[in-house]
Amino acid sequence: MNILVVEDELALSKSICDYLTESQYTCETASVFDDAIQKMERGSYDCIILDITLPGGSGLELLEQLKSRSVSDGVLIISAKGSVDDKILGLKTGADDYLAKPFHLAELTARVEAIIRRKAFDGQRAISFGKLKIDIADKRVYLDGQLVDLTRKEFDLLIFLVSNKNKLVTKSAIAHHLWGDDANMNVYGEMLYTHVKNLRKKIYLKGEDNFIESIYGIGYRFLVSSGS
Amino acid sequence: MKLLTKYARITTGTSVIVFLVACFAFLPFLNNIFIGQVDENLLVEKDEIMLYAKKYQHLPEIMPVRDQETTFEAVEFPENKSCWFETIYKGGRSFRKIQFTITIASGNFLVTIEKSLDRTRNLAYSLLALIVSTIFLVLLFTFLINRFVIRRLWNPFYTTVLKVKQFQISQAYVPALQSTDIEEFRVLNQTLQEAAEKALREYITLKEFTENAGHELQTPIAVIRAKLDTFIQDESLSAAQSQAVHEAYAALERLYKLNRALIFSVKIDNRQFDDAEEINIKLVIELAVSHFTDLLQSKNITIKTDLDDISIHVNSVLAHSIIDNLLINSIIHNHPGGSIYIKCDASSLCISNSGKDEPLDASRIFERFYKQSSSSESQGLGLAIVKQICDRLHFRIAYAYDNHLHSFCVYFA
Repeated sequence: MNILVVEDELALSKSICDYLTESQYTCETASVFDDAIQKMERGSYDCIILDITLPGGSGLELLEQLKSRSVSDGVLIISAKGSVDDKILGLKTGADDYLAKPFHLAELTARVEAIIRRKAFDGQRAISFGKLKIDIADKRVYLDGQLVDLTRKEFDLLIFLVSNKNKLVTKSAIAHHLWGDDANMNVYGEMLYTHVKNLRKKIYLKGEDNFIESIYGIGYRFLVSSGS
Repeated sequence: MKLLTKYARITTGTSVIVFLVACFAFLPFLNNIFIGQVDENLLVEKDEIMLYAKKYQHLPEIMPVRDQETTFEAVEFPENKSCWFETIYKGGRSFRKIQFTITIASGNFLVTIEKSLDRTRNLAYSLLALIVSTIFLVLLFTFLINRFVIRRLWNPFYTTVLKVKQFQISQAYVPALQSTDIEEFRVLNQTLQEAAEKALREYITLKEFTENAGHELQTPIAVIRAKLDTFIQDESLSAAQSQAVHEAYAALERLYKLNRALIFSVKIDNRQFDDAEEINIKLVIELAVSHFTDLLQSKNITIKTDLDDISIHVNSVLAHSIIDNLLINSIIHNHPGGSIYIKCDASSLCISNSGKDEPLDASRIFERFYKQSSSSESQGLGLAIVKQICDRLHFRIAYAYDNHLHSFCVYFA
């Protein structure tokens, strides 16, 4: 999977690329308008992460240019402004999704995955890890052929962890994903713990290691042996 | 007391004193003039009598004259003095008496002419009455002028005072002060206007700076978070290191939330949420309740609602913020198994919740960063934001503790 990160804050774009590279994406960065244009013309990307607050107002311009060339690259806009108008404008101009800074890298990854998934197979894709099969479009999960009864929140939680597979995701990132940016860990902590506990129980296959690893004090990780 | 009253007291008091003193000084003076006038008349009479006596060598016949009495008395020796005057009182009335001696063939006679002072007395009284009336009229008119004319003259001042009272710097405009031809007020208005405009400019600059600073802070926070997210992927972290990272995350989370609240607060002040629409409060409340369903369930809190289907003209973001903040507050500060009651009608919205068994400090709960307990569940900003929004929308918010329930009520307009 090919990702282009257009972001003028170098420390941030480096972090994003490091994180994505560990998840087996290939990642390039561009920090100025011209560089971004060149890269976009040269190759095609599965997803472009675009900072719309690029200096000189060029972020939006880039998006317009991209859309006018009708490429099928997915676009995720990141923005420091976070206003509703901003979001609407970005989506109207043709972006696939919008994420306000500051975000959790886990959230960013989940959004990128979702975009790629939608683009690649029009959402008709099922992912499998050993005996666990996840039908994203139908929102159904099967364990060893049997349908698993998951609540909406448990399903969202599973997809979030799967999108960040093999990565340690903080409890905070999960809470924000499930309950919004205002979720306070002190308030939602116990609920999160319960949800994860239930999910783990439901997708646990006797005799095998649990898919979800719990790292005490920090968060959780969806473990996949290489090859899935 | 009012300037006018003080001024009136001084001038009135002075006027009255001056008039009275003048009266008292004037009266004897007047009296002397009148007496002098009478004396002149008496002298004329004396001269007439003396002339007659000299010419005809006998006493003249006295014609009865009103208010005047002439008597002759034979005496042995002529007096040395030519004549003398005296004021006498007879029978409750006063007279001016002149006495002189004349010498004729038949001997010496003492002539006494007494003239009644009644007329002069009456004249004096009339004059006194006139003066007193004049004083009274002057005082009356001064009073009337003070009351009506001066009050109107002070109008520009009071208009200015009213406008200054209503001035709120957060409204971001300086009211125009009326033009006036009275120089003192013109100077006052001009100075006030300039001072207000200057204050407003600085206020706007400060607000813009705060908003920009808030936005700028987002990026470093994003960078730190991204670095931490990457850092924890390292499996060789020791327990102590993990703990440190965990605490760093928690602190960053607080910073993030504070910054968000700050930006929101400044945006409200910068009038970015000024456009309003018809918002159905019932729907907003129901949406908020459904948003917090998980939380309500996990804390086993029951919610009861009594919502009228009403709409108010308000900005959507602000309406949601009020309700979300009040609701999350009523959940956080509730005890497990507690209850929440939401009532809403055309004039108000009230959220009541069970919780601590003693009333909160009503004078401080709306302050920023004030927390009743040191619980880290909240940052103490929610109610402050609700209050800020209510102030902006001219809603009233009140807290009451009744029957073990903490109630927060927002009164629309």
